[in-house]
Amino acid sequence: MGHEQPGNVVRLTVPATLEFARIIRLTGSGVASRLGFDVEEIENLRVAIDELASLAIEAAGGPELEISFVATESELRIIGRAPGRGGADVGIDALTAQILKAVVDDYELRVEDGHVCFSCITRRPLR
Amino acid sequence: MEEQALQPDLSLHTNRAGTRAVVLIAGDLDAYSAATLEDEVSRLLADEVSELVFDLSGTGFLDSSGLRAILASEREISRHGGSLVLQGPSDPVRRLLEITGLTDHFVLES
Amino acid sequence: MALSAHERAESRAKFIEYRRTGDRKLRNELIEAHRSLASHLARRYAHRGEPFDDLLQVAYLGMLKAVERFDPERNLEFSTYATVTVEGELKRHFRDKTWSVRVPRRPQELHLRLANVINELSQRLSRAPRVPEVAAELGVSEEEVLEAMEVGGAYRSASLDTRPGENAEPTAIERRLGTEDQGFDIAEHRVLLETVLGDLSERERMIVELRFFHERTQTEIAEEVGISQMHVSRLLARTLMQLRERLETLEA
Repeated sequence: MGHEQPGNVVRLTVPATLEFARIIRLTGSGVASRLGFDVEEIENLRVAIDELASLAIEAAGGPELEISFVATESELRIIGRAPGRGGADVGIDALTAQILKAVVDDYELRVEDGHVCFSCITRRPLR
Repeated sequence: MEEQALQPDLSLHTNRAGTRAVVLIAGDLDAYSAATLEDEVSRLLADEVSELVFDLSGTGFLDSSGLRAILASEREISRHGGSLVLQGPSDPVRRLLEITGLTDHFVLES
Repeated sequence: MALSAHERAESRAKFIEYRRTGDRKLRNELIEAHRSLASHLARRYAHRGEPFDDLLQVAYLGMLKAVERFDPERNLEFSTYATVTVEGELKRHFRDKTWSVRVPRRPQELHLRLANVINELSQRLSRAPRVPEVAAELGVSEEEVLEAMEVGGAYRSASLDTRPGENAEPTAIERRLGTEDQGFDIAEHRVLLETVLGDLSERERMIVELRFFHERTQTEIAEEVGISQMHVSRLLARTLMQLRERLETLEA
């Protein structure tokens, strides 16, 4: 991930259950707002993080989902990670893909090292 | 802990009039709450409802899971020879319908 | 505001005396002597939306407690002890207030006004507003705006009543996907559409043409044809379904 300046990463760990999607959405809005995103992009990010976090939670085998909001000069990257279930695979269906394509610049969901991981990127607004 | 700043997640309120049912969907219709809607629709279909209306004016958040629940409800009721109307969709709902190109798929009532 | 060495010595003597006698007059003199410290601490919390008079009262109450509990035998400056006590009272004041009626009420009313304010600001700025701009317009905190967005959603999307391309700036979604129709791509299936159109009634055909070839909104179509918007919606939904079924049989 390169060198991160201290203070540009916000981390959130929640129980890997769907009822906490709401908290993740609200935290995401707060971080995006701090970074100067407008209300429309904040709404987009809420949807993106909800879709990816929900998929990760459904594929999770462990109790917690770790989320990091990483801001650099050019972008906001949201990363999620949870212990996977043995043998579980993850996929994004056409409907969800269509939504994600519209609301963030890039996204990814995969299983790696027994963990389910996701990330999405939104370019920061030009001032 | 007393009152929370955030609203409770989803509340469904159904108004029945014969074979017509209006379901007020207030709050978040997401992966967590989608099943609640599907259960209610199954219950209504089993109870002879053929005209189903979802009042989406109070739906503060909708994601793909919520949308799938709405699509599934539409398929279910069509199989029973009935119809589904989406009433007063809130801005978050409209957004998702537009993103997914479904604004002309559902019957929408403003 | 800090006491001089002489004043501190005097104060310490008074504390010793007060602890020995419990003399109210002494206690009040001690509180008076440290009044400016109390108001200084209250001022630190002044910009959180609470009336300053309330904060002063809370700070003086804290100072009273500090005076009553301070043990001059211990190797501790009273001002340090008092600061901790008074700030504790002030923080508790805010915590109690936060969990009571005020904050939860606001997001509920706010979210109803939110969409209109955002709409107005969008037009004024020719772009979507940022949260601080919305907060300033509504006279509330940024956190309250974010909570209101959570309750009601804030994005004023292009509704059934607008056309693509009506906004001055492309929306983020338009930028990502381009302005072509998402989902069912009409242009690609134009030929097929014309085949299906042949099966429709005169009126139904007109509605479909107006919608997809002339990009009229559903409301405009309703007016032109003389039926309700909902009726237009129904017809379009049915037509698209027929189209899809046709496609499936042909592509099978």
